[in-house]
Formats: sequence, structure tokens, C-alpha cells
Amino acid sequence: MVFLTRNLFVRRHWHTSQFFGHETPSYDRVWEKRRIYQQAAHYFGRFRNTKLARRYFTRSLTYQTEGRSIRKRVRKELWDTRIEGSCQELDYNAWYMRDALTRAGVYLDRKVLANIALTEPRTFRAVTEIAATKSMDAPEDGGMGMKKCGPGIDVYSKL
Amino acid sequence: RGLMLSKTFISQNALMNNGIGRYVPQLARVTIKFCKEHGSSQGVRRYIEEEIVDFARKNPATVVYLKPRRHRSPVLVAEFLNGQTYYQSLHMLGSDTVSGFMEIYRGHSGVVYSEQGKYTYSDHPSIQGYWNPTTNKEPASALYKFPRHTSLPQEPTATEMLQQLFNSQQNSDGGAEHFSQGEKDRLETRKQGES
Repeated sequence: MVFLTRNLFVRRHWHTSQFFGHETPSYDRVWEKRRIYQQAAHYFGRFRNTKLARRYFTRSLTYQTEGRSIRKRVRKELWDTRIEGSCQELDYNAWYMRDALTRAGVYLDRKVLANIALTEPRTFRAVTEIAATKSMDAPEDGGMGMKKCGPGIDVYSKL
Repeated sequence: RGLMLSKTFISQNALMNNGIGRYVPQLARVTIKFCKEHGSSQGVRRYIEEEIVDFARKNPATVVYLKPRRHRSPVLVAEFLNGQTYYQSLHMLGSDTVSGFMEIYRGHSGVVYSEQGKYTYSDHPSIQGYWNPTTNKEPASALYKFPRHTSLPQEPTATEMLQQLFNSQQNSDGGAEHFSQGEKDRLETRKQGES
């Protein structure tokens, strides 16, 4: 005898591939809804267990799309703020830093500068001194002719 | 990118120790359940006839079990040394695909597939020590006593400037021609601290 009743009552759910991350088609809408509810599980009240969940989940997807470019912009602003603050402490105007470093041949980007200002403060101090020396140089020597600024430490003799 | 993928960081995702000294295959057991008659297991049956013995011979660390089950869809159950179990449906797949899946699981570490949060990892993120408010200050500043008279050249205060002006006028008497005699007398009597 072949007992098929139990099989027929099972909600058919085709397995998800763990490695490729995309689901194979499912012919029971319960699983489609379940995916939505899992994504909306942290919403408040009715928004996580009624059909409103689908509405607000699709809105969250639009936020994700918009946020991709916003994240890049916000990150850049944060790095700029951190570099500015670290330079201020060392008596140097960070407005001139990029130009001075490029002239000196130091091609570090904002991300690295912001990170070393936190994790490697002495290196950052030396980099600021390089920028300051370059800024204070006369324009004939390739500098910007600024007044005395920067941490005032001795870097070039050690290079 | 899958919707249900979790995020990990590289320290959890790739342990990166296997293979440095000795490579330990992480796949412990493979169980293939299939039906001997149904058409959905045709690819699996072909794989079993042709390729599974080679697989078992080449991977002595892995145990291969075959479970023929009537009226069931074919499935592959892979169990790993870290306790993770994966169920891979082989329904209606050809034998090439089945062998492909076997290869995937053969080399898999057992750690659940997840999205990489960061591509960098470091046990020692800071070599020189993290910045704190005292990093760029000289240590002697902890012992300062106030009021401090620094030796740095400072600009004169407004009061000092006025005093300098007044004194220079008095000394050179250059300003005296601007004052009348009566004013000079009044200024003399109004000086403080002089008898």
C-alpha cells in the first residue's frame, strides 16, 4: 500500500540554495508571505503581521536603494570632519592638507587619514608635519607660502 | 544578493587555519536519499551508477550513505565536523549537477554561507595606541601651576598699548603741543600714585 495523504498535505517548499542565495520557485504562497514577515519582524505592531508588512517592506527596499549613495556621501563627510578635527589639534588648517600632501607626493585618501588619526596618531602627526612644511615653503620651492603652522616636529631628517 | 543572507565578518566566516599545517576535510558524512523508480531521481541514480564510488574512494575522510526511499524526492544531506547539516534537494537534477553539488560540499568548511560585512580583519588594529585627548599634549602639562606666564611672544593687551602710547607721548613730548597749558596742569595733578 502506498500512503500519499501525508505527502499531499505537506506545504510544498522548494529548497533554497545556501550557496547562491536565490530561492527556487514555490507554489504555496505561504512561503512568499513568510519571507516578507521575516524581513518585517522588527517592525512595530500591526506593521509586522498584516498585509501592511509588504507595503512597508517595499518602502524599506526603496530606502536601501536611496541609501547607497547617501552612505557614501555621509562617510566622506565624516572622514573630512575627523581629519579637520585632528589637524586643528595640531595647529594646521586641514583645508590645505590635500593640496600640500599631493605636492609632497603623499597620496593617502580620506579614509586612511581618518583611520590613522585614530589608530596611529604619531604617523598622522608626521603626515601633518609634512603637509605643514610644504605649506610653509615659498611658492618658488613648490609650496604655498603660509605662515608658521603645524605640530613643529622634526620629520624630514628621519626620512 | 539573497534577502535572507546574514552578515558576518571575516574572523567568523573564514577560519583560515585549515591547510596551513595539515588539511582536514570538513565533510564528515554524505547521505543521499532517492527513489528507485520515480523520474525525479533519474539524475541521482545515474550519478550513483557512474561516479559515486570514485567520489568515495577519493575522499576517505567522508562517509557516503545511500538510502533508497520509495515515493520521496531525492535529497542530499551533508553533515560537517562543526555540526552543521545541509539539506540539498536534487529533485529533477541531472547527474552533472549532482556531481557539482557533491564537489561544493566536499570542499565546504561547514560555516553557514553569509554576506561579508568587511573585507579586512586585524587582531591588532592599533599599533601606536589609540588616540586619547592627552596624546598630542606634552606630559609636563600635567604639572603646570597657574597662573602661567609663557615665554611665547604675545601681542600687547589694549591697556598696555594705551600705556605705551601715553608714555611715548610723555617722553618725547611730541603730544605736548596738542595740549594747552591748562590741560597739562590738570593731567599732571590727575596722575595716580604720584605725590
